[in-house]
Amino acid sequence: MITAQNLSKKFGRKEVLQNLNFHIQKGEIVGVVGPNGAGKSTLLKIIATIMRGTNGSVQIDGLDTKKETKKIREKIGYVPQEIAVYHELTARENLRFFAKLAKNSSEESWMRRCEEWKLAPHLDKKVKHLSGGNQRKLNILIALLHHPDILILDEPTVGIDISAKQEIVNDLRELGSEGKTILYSSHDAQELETLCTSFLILKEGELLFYGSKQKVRQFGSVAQAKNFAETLGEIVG
Amino acid sequence: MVWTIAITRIKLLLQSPWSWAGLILPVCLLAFFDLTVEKTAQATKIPVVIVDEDTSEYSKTVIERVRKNPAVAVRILNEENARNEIETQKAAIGFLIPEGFMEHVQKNDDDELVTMWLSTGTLSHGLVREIFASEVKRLSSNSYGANTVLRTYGKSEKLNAKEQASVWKEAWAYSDKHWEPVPLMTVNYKIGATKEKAQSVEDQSVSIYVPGMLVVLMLFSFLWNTWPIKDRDSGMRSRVPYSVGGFSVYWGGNALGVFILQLVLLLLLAGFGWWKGELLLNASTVLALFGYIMFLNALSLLFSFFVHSHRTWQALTLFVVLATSLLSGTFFPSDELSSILEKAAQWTPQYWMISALNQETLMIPLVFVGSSIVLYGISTMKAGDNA
Repeated sequence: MITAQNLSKKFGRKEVLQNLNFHIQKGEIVGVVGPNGAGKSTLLKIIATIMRGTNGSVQIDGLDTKKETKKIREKIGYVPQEIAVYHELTARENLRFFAKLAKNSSEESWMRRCEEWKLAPHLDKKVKHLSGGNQRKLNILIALLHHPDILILDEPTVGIDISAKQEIVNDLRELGSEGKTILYSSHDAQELETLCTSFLILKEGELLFYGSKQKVRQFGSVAQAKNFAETLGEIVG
Repeated sequence: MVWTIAITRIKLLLQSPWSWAGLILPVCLLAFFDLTVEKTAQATKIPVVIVDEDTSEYSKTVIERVRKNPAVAVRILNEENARNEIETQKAAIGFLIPEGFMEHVQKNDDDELVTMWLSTGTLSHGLVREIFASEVKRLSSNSYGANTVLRTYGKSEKLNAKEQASVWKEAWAYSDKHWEPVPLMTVNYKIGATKEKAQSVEDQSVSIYVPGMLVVLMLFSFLWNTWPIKDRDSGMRSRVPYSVGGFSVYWGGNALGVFILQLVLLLLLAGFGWWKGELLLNASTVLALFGYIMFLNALSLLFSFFVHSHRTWQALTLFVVLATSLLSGTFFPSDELSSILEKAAQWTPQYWMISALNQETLMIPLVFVGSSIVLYGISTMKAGDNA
C-alpha cells in the first residue's frame, strides 16, 4: 500500500532522512518510533504529501506522491501534532465546517462516530473549553471526515492524561479493525505496544528497523530486555 | 466552498466583543477627534460682532461672505449688545453697518461707510478689518464698474430705464465674478478629497477625518490578517490540503472574509464621513477606496506569509502603519518634505490614495486593483508551497 524507495530528505546541508526503503501493507497499524530529531515527523509529512522528499519516491496504491498529490490526499487523513481546529468555535461548528469542505461527509456519519467516541455530549462546547483528551479526539475525527483509507497521526496524544490516552488508543484500534492503515508516531512505548502491529524505527534519519511487533523483541543486542517498552527504549537509545 | 471559509473567518474574527468594538471604535474615535479639532478650530476663531441697521441685500452679502471666512466667528447683535461684547472683551472687533449702506455703496460713496469698534485686549483686529474691508470694497468696486459702464455706454446706446437696470446688473455681476478676496495671512491647506477641494477657498478648514480613515483602514487590515500566522501555529495549514480542494481556495476564502470585514469598516467610516460632509462620495472616490482596501488586504496577507510570530507581526504592523502614514503626506503635504522623503512617499499606498481622491482619476484605483491581484497571486503560491 505505501512504498518508499531510496527516500531521502535534506534541509540545506542537513540530511534528515537517508535512503529509506520500506513497504507497508494495507490494514497495518505502524508505530513510527525514534528519538527527537530522528526524522519521524518529516517522514510522515512526506507520506502525507505536505512535504516533498529530496530524492527517491513514495508510492501509495501505486500513485506517486509527487505527481498524483490530489488523488493521494483523498486517501489520506492527516492528524498534525498540534490541535488543528478553530478553538473559538464549538466542536460541532468545527465538524460542520470541515465536513462542508470535505464534501462527501454526512452529518449522520460523523455524529455516529462522535457517539462511539463519547464526544457527543461535548459537541456544543467551544473547543478551548474541552478537555485535552476531547480536543485530541476532535483533532482525529476531523481527519476522518472524508473517509480516508490511511490515517497518519503525528504524536496525537501529547499532553493528555493516561485514561484519555487509553480511550484514544482504543478508538484507533477500532479504526484499525475497520481495515484502515494507520501510521502512528509517539514516544509512549506502552500505547505503541497496545496499538501497533508493526514498527518503523528511525535513528538520525536512518531506518533502523521495520517489522512486526514480534520481530522487535528479537532485534539486535536488546533481545535480553525485560519488556517491550524497555526493548524499544534500548533500540531507540 | 470559498464562501464557507469566508463566513467562518468572519465568525472567528468577530468572536469576542473586542472584535465588534474594532468595527465601531474606529468610527467613534475618528468622530471624536474630528469633533475635537472642529471645536478647537471654533475656539481659535476671532470673535466678531456685527450690527446690521441697513438689512439690505448688500449688508447681508457682506455679512455672509465674512462669515464664510474660517478665521472669524461672526455674531449679529443689536448695537447695545455689540458694544457690551466689545467692552467686556468677549468680541475682538465690532462693525456697525448703518442705514443707507447699500445706497452709499452704489453711489461709490465709500467714506466712513462702516463704524468699527475695537476691543482693547486683542491684536487680531487688523486681520478682521482687512477681511471686512475687502468685502465692502468688493461691493463698492462692483458698483463703480457698473456705474462706469452705464455712464460710458448707456447714454450713447439710448437705453430705457429697464434696459439700463439690466446692463447695470450685468456689469455688476461681471465685476463681482472677478473678485476672489483672499484675506491676508490665510493659509490654504488641502486634505484628501474633502469637500473643501471641490468648493471655494473660503470653505477650507483642516480635517483629520480622511487621513484618519486611511490610517484606520490600514491598521485593521493588518490586525485582521494575522490568521495565516495563527493557522500556521495551530497546524491548520497542514490540515487544509485534505479538507479543501486546493490551497488557493483556503487562502482566497480567508482573504475574502477579511475583505468583507474591511468593507463593512469602510462603509461605516466613509458613511459617517459623507454624513458629516468630510468626504465627497462619487464614483471615482468609491472605486479608489475599494481599490485601497483591496490592496491593503493583499499586502498584509503577503507580509503575514513571511512573519512567523505574533510579536513580530505586531511590531511590523505598527511600523508599517506609522511609517507610511507619516511619510505619505497623509497628515501634511508631502511636497513640504525633503526631495528624498518626497520620493519615498510615492512608495506608500496612502500617497496614491490621497492622489486618487484629489485627482478623481480612475487610473490609480485600477492600479490598486491590479497590484492587489498580483500580490494575491504571489502570496497564494508562496503559502501553498509552504503549507
